[in-house]
Amino acid sequence: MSAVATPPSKRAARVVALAGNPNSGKTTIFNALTGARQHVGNYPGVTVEKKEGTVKFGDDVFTVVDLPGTYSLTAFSLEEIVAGNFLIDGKPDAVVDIVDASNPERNLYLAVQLMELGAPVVLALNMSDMAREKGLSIDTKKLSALLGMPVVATVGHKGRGLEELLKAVRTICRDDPLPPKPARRVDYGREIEPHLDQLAARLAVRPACAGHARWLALKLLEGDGDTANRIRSLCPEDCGDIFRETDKLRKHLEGVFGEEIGAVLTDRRYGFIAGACAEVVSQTAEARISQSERVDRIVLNRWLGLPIFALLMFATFFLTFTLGQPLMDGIEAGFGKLGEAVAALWPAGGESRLKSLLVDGIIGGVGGVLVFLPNIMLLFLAIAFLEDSGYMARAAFVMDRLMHRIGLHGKSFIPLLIGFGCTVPAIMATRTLETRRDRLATLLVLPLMSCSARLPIYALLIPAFFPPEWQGPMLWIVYAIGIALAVAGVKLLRITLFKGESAPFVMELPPYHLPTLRGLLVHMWERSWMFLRKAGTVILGISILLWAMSVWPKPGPETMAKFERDRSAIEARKDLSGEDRRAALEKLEHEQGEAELEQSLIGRIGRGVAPALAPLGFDWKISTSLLGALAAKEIFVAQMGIVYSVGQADEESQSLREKLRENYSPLQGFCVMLFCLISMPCMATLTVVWRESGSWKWALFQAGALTALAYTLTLAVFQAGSFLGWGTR
Amino acid sequence: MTAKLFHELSVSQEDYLETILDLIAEAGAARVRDIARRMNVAKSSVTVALRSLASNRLVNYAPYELVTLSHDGKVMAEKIRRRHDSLANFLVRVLGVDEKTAGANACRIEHAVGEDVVNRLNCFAEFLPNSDIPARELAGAFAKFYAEREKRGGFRESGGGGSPPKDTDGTPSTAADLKPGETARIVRVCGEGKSRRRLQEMGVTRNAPLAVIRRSPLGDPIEVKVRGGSLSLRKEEAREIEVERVKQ
Ligand SMILES: Nc1nc2c(ncn2[C@@H]2O[C@H](COP(=O)(O)OP(=O)(O)O)[C@@H](O)[C@H]2O)c(=O)[nH]1
Repeated sequence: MSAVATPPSKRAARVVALAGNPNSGKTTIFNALTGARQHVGNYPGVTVEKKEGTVKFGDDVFTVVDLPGTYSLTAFSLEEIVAGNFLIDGKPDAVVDIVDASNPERNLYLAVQLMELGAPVVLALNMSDMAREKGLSIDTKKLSALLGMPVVATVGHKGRGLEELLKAVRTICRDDPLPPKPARRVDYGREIEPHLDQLAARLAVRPACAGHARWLALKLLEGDGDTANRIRSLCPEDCGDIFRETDKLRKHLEGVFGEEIGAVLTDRRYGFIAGACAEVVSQTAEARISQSERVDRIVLNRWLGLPIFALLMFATFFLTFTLGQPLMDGIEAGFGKLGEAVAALWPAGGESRLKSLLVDGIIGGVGGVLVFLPNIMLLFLAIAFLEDSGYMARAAFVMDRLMHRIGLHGKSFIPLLIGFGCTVPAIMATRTLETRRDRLATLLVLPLMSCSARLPIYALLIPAFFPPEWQGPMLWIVYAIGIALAVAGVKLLRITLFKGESAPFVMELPPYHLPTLRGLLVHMWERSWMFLRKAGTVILGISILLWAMSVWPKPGPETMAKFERDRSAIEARKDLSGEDRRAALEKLEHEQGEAELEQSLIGRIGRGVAPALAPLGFDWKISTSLLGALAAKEIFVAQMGIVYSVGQADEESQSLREKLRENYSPLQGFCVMLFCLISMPCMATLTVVWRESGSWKWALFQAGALTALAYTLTLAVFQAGSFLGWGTR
Repeated sequence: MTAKLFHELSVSQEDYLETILDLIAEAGAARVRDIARRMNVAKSSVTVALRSLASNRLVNYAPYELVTLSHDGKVMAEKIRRRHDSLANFLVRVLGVDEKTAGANACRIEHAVGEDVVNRLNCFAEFLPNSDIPARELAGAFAKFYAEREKRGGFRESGGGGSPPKDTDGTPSTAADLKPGETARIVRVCGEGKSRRRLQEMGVTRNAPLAVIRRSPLGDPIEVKVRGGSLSLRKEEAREIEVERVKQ
């Protein structure tokens, strides 16, 4: 036990770890304690988020570390391993276990494990208001005596009890060398205890294990490989005999109990808790139907459940995209104005590389990053509401059957839905999924949900190639292909990369809470800031790079000189009216734009890869535009405008549609849409996938796999179509 | 009562009962030392197991005394014995395995398969030598043979001796069989390591009451209440939770 509290005097700030079940109000308390003084990072080597903050209390400064929300310390999930390791290696000066007092039995399981670990725990009975409402009264003094740890009642979102909590933390931090011994410990019974003691005694003589001997003995007995490795790496002495003996002991005990030993230990711990609860918890008021149950009777009703779900999903989508649109337009317009203002600093007509870099490269790039912000902020506002209120788990409950059939989790629905708006916030929304396997599977197929940036491409191409009565169905077909491929993709992933036992669905349906505005705003801000800091910078870098590639190298001096000559010639012609002259000049400018793009790196690469894309029915102009679309899908349309010398075209451009009709067949048009739908997501998506999955490899894998899939499918469609004679104009 | 107990008896306790029955048959008495030697385990394990058997009133045991079977224990041990014999019988007569291998393997199979399967295997062993039916009609013919047997009620205890009628209330049901609004006591949690432990850590442990609250609007998953908290379980997970209905 003393090992945890070393060496307090040397620390500038005491480290306080917050532990607790999910939905116990941990985040609320963390925010209430630390305010704005927090920092979000990752635990070394893993993608589990690590939040840290500081709190001043009198003369003391505490560093508060928010551990991942877990139900236990068994090393099953990454979160539990991270939490367990931090408690042992991080040597926090105090551990605050936040317990949902309205559901003490299950919540105390973690507390009992912390007690067994010998950590210096302070128990925060949070949601004590809810407990009272439920008619539960908890004797904190008795509980404190039973568990051997200070117990404080709190109400997180009102900030009640935090003062006492900090006082208790301060006492426990100062209270070296030893916190009071627990009055009781879990008694594992006559069959197990003697062996346990013996094992603990053998471990205790090793300095590395001394502080937690009983805990380590329990873990070894459970057959926890992680613990064995830890002991092996910490102990200079040979541990082989201990492990062998533990294995033998485990087999023996499992023979006696006819059951896995971990299960027996869990049983006993719950037995201990049930006993403790019987002593300290009393039902004062008549147990009536809880508020939550009353809400659930409507929200999860057999007939109303799905409509309510659909309504809330619609609201989320609407909030994120429809309400976000004016903000996005505002940002775009603002950056457009800024670009113009900066451009105006240069003399009119003069071309300058610096101006081009500033206006088109940097200002355009920053605008391109910030334009995602409204969506991300609004989406996470909505998600925070759904999560904090407790509805998110219900949404998964309602949708799970459908999603499970596809091979995903009920909670995958929201990210997939958001994917139709924009893939970037959708990928960030996969954070709500608890297991890495579910998260990655969802994340990898997400780009197949056709995002709104691809809509301009369809809007340009479909009317260009298809008669009006086919235009609606065509759009649906494209979307349906994306969904079908996503479903097939998940199935494929499930039998290849993510094979094996799917994570259990056991999910808590927490009681409903009214979320606090502050909680929602903090959540929203956290995500947005994370996006800007971790993804925004990369996206900016890549977009500047892509811009540079589309501008450099410039055409040779004689080409430029020719355009100059032509321009002077037009200006010199007296026979043209003002109107005609302007048109002629514009046409010349468009031709110059085309020549410049053709000469640029992107144009050259486009020409270079064109032969490879020829079997798909694409020429160099399409290839070049597809490359440009890496920056953002909708850029495809603008690029096509440039390569066909119609200037900055948008999806409504009739002249561009003319050109397309002249040059391509409907089959080619369809192939372009198909390719845009499936192929390589935009680089903002790739960057976010990299950040959220924690590794470049997944982003590259996704880009590679989707592009390969797009290539194969488009190839098949174009070749089959050509064979059937649809390829000709 | 016996059926239920039988069900709850853990694998290794069955082995103990069987061994004790054998020893009493051979030497007239069973001693801890002999049991330990026969089963190739430590004497301390034997004591522990005996204590637990004694608490179930299956054996009479006090330290340093001979071990005897109680009435219930005897009935159960014989039942286990018969199951073992009929399996060995099947292995020898149908599959042509030699006696020694058959004995060892029967031991392992009997813990892994249910009573019904053992009965059918045994019945099949009896049926086969007497039939000269072409292979493609075999299945139909056996079904008839089995149905007749079942009507006569003779196959359950092919070694003779009446068994208590099956206790319908005690047949194991799972949390997936419960209707919304029903409450039951958890008997045990089966399933694979990881999901099973997860369930247990969330409070789904032996003897805890479990109430099914509702089904999802699409029919799956279900919401259950255990230890004061609501959990959502897929049917396939609920099926791993064996429960016993509680009368309200
Ligand atoms: N009634 C009540 N609600 C609380 C209390 N503490 C937190 N909440 C609410 O519970 C919900 C979930 O809290 P959160 O901190 O996100 O839980 P976490 O999952 O443990 O991080 C939020 O809506 C909070 O406003 C409390 O003491 N009483």
